[in-house]
Amino acid sequence: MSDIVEVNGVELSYPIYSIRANSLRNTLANLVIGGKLLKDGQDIIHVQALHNISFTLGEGDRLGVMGHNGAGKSTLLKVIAGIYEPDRGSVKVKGDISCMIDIGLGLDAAHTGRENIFNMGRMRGIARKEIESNMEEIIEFSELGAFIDLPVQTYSAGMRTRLVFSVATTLKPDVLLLDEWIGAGDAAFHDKATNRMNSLLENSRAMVLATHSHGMVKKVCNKLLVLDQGREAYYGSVDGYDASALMQ
Amino acid sequence: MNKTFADLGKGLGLYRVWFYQAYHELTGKYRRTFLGPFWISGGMIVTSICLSVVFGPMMGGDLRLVLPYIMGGILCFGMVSFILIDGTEMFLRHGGNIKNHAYPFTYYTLETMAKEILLFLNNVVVFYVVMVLIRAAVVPHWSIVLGFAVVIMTGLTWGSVFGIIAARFRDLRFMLPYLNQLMFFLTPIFWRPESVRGHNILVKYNPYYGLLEIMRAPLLGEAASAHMWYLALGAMVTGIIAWLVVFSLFRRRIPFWV
Repeated sequence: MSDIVEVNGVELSYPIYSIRANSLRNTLANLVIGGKLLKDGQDIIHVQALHNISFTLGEGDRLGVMGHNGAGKSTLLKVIAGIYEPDRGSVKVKGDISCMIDIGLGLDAAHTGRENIFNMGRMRGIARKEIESNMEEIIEFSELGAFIDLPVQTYSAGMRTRLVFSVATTLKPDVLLLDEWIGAGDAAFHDKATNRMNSLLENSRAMVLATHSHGMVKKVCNKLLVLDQGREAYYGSVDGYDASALMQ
Repeated sequence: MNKTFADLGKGLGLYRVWFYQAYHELTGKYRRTFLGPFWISGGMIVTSICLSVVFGPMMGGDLRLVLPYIMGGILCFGMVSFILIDGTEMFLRHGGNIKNHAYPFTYYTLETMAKEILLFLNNVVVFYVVMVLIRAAVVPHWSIVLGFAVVIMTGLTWGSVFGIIAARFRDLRFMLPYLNQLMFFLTPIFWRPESVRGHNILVKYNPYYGLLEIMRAPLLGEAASAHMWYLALGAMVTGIIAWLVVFSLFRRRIPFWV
């Protein structure tokens, strides 16, 4: 039994800079005056975003991450994805990660839908041949028809979402990272999108979903991590957790 | 330090992505324009002609000697400007991607440089067209290849150092490009080094002059002097050291700074 995702004692605090702390003048002044201005010149607030977080995910594990706003859900996803390096602790991931925090990566409104499929695919590390072989399927799935050869700036919001969604879900990732469950478009497209997400989930070897919805976690996850101000408030099976505790 | 090299390795491995991305951004910007990227070259031509008309008489007057010197200078200074202009913006302008995607940080450096090189090659073509028109075209000295490589390496290293610092201290975002403009005037681009005998610090210890001259002299068919090479290599070596230190120490802070 090999672990696919291994998160071990991860700590992360990140600095938030005020306008003053970003200014060279104040920093220099602090140096010159020997830190006397430190109190109101150096407004860097350190937020302890993650505190000693550990878990492992094996083959087929689906982890739901819940918590209030600012509890560290997205930060944890970004640490697993490799966007943030933890201060202490380690993150090991075996295989390809598909991080769906910002699924619009590589979208350029000045280019046509078809060019954007190439562009977005390339930025996600898909080879050109693979994009070409999937091209018709992506276009068909997005239901864009002749619009695919028009610039994306002429699209409606719904069409844009369908294009982005179609490309983003074409990958076959080992590890899927989701910041909120992704649904897309109008009612008719919604069912298709749901089916596509489910098949994506089945094809992935492990998944982490950050969400506010306990219902969603119950539906798709087998493990649950609840964060409270960056600390682990609960970790275990989904069924063993009393959802009313989160409401406190 | 290991992570620094891992980042660099991953960045280089993404060469297909940054090359296409650079090409896309460059061509995308000039969509629906008639002259396309030649707008930039147009600027280079007009500026060099104007400077030649004004400063040419002070340098001896013959347009066939003055224009190649000035236009070559502006062309090569474009590459050197990477350090303070493109370098400053390289992380800041990709803030959205840096915050949401686990690309190696060197990816952004390489993409920005790829764009600069494409622009330079585009300008080189225009430069030779003008040189042929005024019958002043010469075969470049072979050392231009080395000079080009040294300037690229200096741009990559010092450029990312300034990119990181400018992300942290936002004042630099405005100060560094201004500094670049100052260097344009303080470096012998449209004036001859001989004309400042009294203030030869601008000629003797100006790394910008070294970087410029190891490209411009070969472009005009001559080898650059050894002193110019010392200045340029000095800039490159200190750049590599500065990059290793700054990138290793502050790399992981970039997503919080941009």
